[in-house]
Amino acid sequence: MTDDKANVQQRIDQYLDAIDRVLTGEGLSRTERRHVTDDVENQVRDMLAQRAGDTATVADIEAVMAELDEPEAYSQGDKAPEEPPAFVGDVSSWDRRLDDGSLSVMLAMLGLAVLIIGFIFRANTSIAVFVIEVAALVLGVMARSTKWGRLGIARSSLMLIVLVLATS
Amino acid sequence: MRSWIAQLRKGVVELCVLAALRQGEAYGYQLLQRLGAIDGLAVSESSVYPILARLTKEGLVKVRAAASPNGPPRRYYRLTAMGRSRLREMQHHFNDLQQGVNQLFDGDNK
Repeated sequence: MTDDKANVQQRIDQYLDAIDRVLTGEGLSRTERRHVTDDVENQVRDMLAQRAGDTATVADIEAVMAELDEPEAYSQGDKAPEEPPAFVGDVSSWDRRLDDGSLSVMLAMLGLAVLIIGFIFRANTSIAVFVIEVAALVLGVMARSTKWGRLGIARSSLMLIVLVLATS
Repeated sequence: MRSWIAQLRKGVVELCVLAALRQGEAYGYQLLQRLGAIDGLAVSESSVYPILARLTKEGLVKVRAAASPNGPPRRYYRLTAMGRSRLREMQHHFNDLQQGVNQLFDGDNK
């Protein structure tokens, strides 16, 4: 009985270790890997308890394992695709740019460009830059759940601070 | 064909996970069962658990650990405000895609 328990635990550990190795290869952090393997172990334990209660044998764990994905299945990867800012493209993509926050980043950069042009030609562009940066900030807040939206907030806030300091 | 089906499903798993969590918090295996109970939405643990780990890292879901009768503490996942917002965005894009594809199919049938 004790042997069975130890063998069951050993089989589970082998399976979890194999998953951990695959996830390491996929570039997941230690914390993410632990989260995944904890979830898997919970599932294994639940399935084992449903099947055999407290008296699971090696045959039971093998039967449970047969229902689970191979460790290699974790290598299919779950990497969030990078979303580049849409600086070029057709006019019909404006809605998407608004949603993903890239419009906010574009406006924040436009404000910087206007400021630099004003500086070169010694023209007072502070009001135009202020309006552009406030618009960028508002769009950034609207898309704050996206990374480009948050970048837009950061850039436009920085520009507004620079503008206020420069004009005061 | 199997590869195409796998790619298609992979693309919507994250949406399905977030949508399933809108029904209330759940631990990993419970979430799998919740999805598996819906025709056509059965997904494997190797797809769902890494997504849950990533969604946690991105702040879209929050985790609460509670004692489990069988193993390590269970990790209960629930949507954060950011997660609900992401779900709405994804749902919007998914509906657009679905309508576009349906429009193509309707055109074929005419």
